[in-house]
Amino acid sequence: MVVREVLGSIERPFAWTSARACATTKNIIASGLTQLREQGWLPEMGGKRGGLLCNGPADLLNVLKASRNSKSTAYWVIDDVETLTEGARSTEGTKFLQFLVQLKQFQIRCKLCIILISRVSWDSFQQGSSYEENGPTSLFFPAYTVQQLQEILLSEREVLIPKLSPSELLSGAVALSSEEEKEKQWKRFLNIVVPSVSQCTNSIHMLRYLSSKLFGSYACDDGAEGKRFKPKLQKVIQHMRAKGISNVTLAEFFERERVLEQQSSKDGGDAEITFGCEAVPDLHSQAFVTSMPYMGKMILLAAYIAGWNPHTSDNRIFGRTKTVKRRRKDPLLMNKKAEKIQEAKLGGPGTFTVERLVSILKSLFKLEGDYLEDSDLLDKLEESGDTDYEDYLRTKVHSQETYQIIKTFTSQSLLSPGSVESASMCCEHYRLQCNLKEAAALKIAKGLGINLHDYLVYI
Amino acid sequence: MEERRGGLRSREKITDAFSKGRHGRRGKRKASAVRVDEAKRSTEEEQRPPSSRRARVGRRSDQQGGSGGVSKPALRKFLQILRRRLLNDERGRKCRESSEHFQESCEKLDNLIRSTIIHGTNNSVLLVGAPGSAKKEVLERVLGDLLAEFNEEGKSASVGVVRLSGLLHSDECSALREIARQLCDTWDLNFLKSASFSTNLRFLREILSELDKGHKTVIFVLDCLDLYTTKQKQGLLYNLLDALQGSQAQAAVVGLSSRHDCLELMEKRARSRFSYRKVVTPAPPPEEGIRVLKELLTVPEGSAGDDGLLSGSDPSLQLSGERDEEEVKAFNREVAAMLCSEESKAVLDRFFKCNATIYTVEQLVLGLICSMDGSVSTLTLPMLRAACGSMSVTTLVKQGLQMSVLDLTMLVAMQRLEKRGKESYNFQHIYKEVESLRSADQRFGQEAALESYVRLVEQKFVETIGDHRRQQEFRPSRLLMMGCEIERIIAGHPNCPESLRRSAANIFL
Repeated sequence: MVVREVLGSIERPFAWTSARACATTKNIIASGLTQLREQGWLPEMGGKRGGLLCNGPADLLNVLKASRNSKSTAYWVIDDVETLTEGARSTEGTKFLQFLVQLKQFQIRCKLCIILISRVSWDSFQQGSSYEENGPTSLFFPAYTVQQLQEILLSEREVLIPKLSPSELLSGAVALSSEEEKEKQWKRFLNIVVPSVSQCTNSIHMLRYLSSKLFGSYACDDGAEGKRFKPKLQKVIQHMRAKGISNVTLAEFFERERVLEQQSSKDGGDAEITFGCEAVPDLHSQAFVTSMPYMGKMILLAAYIAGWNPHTSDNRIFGRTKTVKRRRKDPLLMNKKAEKIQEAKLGGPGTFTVERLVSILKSLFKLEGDYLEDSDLLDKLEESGDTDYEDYLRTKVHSQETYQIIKTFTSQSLLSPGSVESASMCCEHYRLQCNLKEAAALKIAKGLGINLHDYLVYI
Repeated sequence: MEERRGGLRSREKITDAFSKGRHGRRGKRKASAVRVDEAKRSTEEEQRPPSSRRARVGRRSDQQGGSGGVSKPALRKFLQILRRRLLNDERGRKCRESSEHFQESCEKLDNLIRSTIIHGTNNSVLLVGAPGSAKKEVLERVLGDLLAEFNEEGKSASVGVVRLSGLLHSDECSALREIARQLCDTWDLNFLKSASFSTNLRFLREILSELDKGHKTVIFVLDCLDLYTTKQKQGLLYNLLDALQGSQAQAAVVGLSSRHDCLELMEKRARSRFSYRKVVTPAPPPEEGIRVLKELLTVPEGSAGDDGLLSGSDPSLQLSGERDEEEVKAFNREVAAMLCSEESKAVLDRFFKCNATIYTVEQLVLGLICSMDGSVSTLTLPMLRAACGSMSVTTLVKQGLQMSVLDLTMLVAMQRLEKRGKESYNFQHIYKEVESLRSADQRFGQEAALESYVRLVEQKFVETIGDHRRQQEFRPSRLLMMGCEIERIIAGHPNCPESLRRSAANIFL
């Protein structure tokens, strides 16, 4: 915003390009040059499309050489430049940035000033090569202090207060007599909220969001000078400390609060409204688990087990012959084992082949599957004379449905491709990785009546 | 003439008095007497009614701007001149050309390239030196002199220069096209933009042999040579050096790099064709940095455009008249006196021992100009200290001083893991460490910690390594900060809890 204002005030041609939106260096060059040409700083170039065709920095240099006669200085702002150094094209992006910074070294003498806006420091772009001789002149924009945040939010009252929900506006809780009174109330509210929330975040966007959400609650308690409001705010801060400050988790938090309010109003309005994440179970994950088919849940559990257990333990857990060897429990060995398990847990899940996943799924079906309770199926199997159920299980597990669900899970990032890139997913040696969180896996297992801890050995 | 001598004498007197004031016993006594006088004056000032004091101060500041003999408007003008001169492209060349090492390197390079032009011996040379050691200036000076000497105006050039940069022409195809384009430009040939790689390569060989017949030389300049040598397939280098191997070419290849292992990184087939000639441009010593600093902080006496840098500049910046001249002299004298003081020397010496490149000097000068502009006084010791101090503070530290307590805790946890000998660790390891660090009032959930971890990765405080397909929390990572930087952040952080400070102190013991 500062850069925009400064450039606007000096009234010189400038181009504004977002590296995030453009994604590639070619697009950035095209965007910048088009804007500069539109403002008359660059001459019109010939070409099939009548535009400036630049494939890379070398072409850009030639175009800039052609513009060395321009009288006024132009500015080219590239926003979010740190995105250029991420992902597969990071080397190309870093080189491009280095080129822009060292433009004066190429002695083209064009009057172009490049302004790079980034969230990370210039040192982070360097990769240890000789082309990193000179860095740009850097200006550091410090974060807002509590006082500055309060001042900004104070001036934005008109914008933030209309964001209150219609129910709050209708209830008349926030309807205040005079404009002055409103201003004072907003100031009092900010004096409570901003210092408290700044313990967790200094983000102006987050504070805007929170203050517009919380003001309704504060306005109701304003008679008691926010005394009833402070415990509620404390709950929000506790939530932020536990679950983070992202918009998503806070939105979930306020959603829960709304549901609770609705429930309490249905019950007669006597029940006290509670802020907190433990009061109502996680709505989204609940919906996610209930909507999943039985086969999908079993595959996820099998994948979770396959990811956390080493492949050598499969026979020990699911094998027919369980060798129960009685050993004296040595406390030292037990400690070592506990340490190893702890280390394995910290190390994260490993990868597994589709073949192993399917065989664990089959074993899981055999031990925990609900097909044995299906009387119709049992009758059918008895009629066909198959009492071992092995064939039935094999066909069930190796069905098209299983592979289709695995594919779906991979596209949903519940499973992700492992180390082998070239192989097809239908290939049984294709490696996968399970991204399911422990809490979600336990919830699914609980829903199916499976004790997941029986199958997890980690080492 | 007499007046001039008188002026010189009076200046000598002043400098003598200054140096005695610093070093001599008499001078010390004098300085102490001056200090006593000043103290008396200030106490008298304090005893006077505030209204009269204010009026006097106002009058003086209006006239002199708070500094010795330089008025406020003149100081502004001088700072503007200095800023303009600093931001001019030519100042680097001007500042460095007078150094001894520069001349030496120029001579060596000149001899090598000259032998190619005169005797037709193909040469390849690597110009290597630390960042900011004036490699480019050396090359430009040599090339400028040679082109001026051997190329006659109105005639076809007998020496042509082809410039390539690893930043721009890293792939063979574009590099060969660029070579063809520049050769065509130099010798007025038609350049075919759509020519293929093989066509351009054939053209290169043919034109080199043609130029050889006419005793014309081509100098290939490969800037950022290490960017060519770090590639797996170095076709361009091989093709160029192979063309030079044969007798049907009269050319030289000059590579520029700051990596001393540049030749070792070359492919075997290219390395065997490259001569092992190196011209090393040494890093500038601390004295050089101080010299350049003085030069950049001195307003040119006479008219502002005397050194040719401000020609055609704003007429309001032109200095004319005796009063201007006097003020320029006074400003330069004050700056020189400040830079010559023992305290300043100590500060600058410490600073230039760490970084003496022209780039850092320029940054320092820019900082000093800004602080002089802000306080409307000539250079002072606190200004110098502040500017040197701020330059040693990295952006990471500046960012760190404003981060949340959770982010800070995560950094300390990572530092603890590193101290324990762990080269890489994932989020789970870090969180376990955070759990052991936390106090009763600083409790953070795993999800909040993961959010903080992601933030640290995005801001490049932490780097994730290894397989990027793994879940974020299990992906190995490592710190991109040094222990001293974290220590600095902990010491200066306004909201750092005492418990965290103690834990961090244990690590850095």
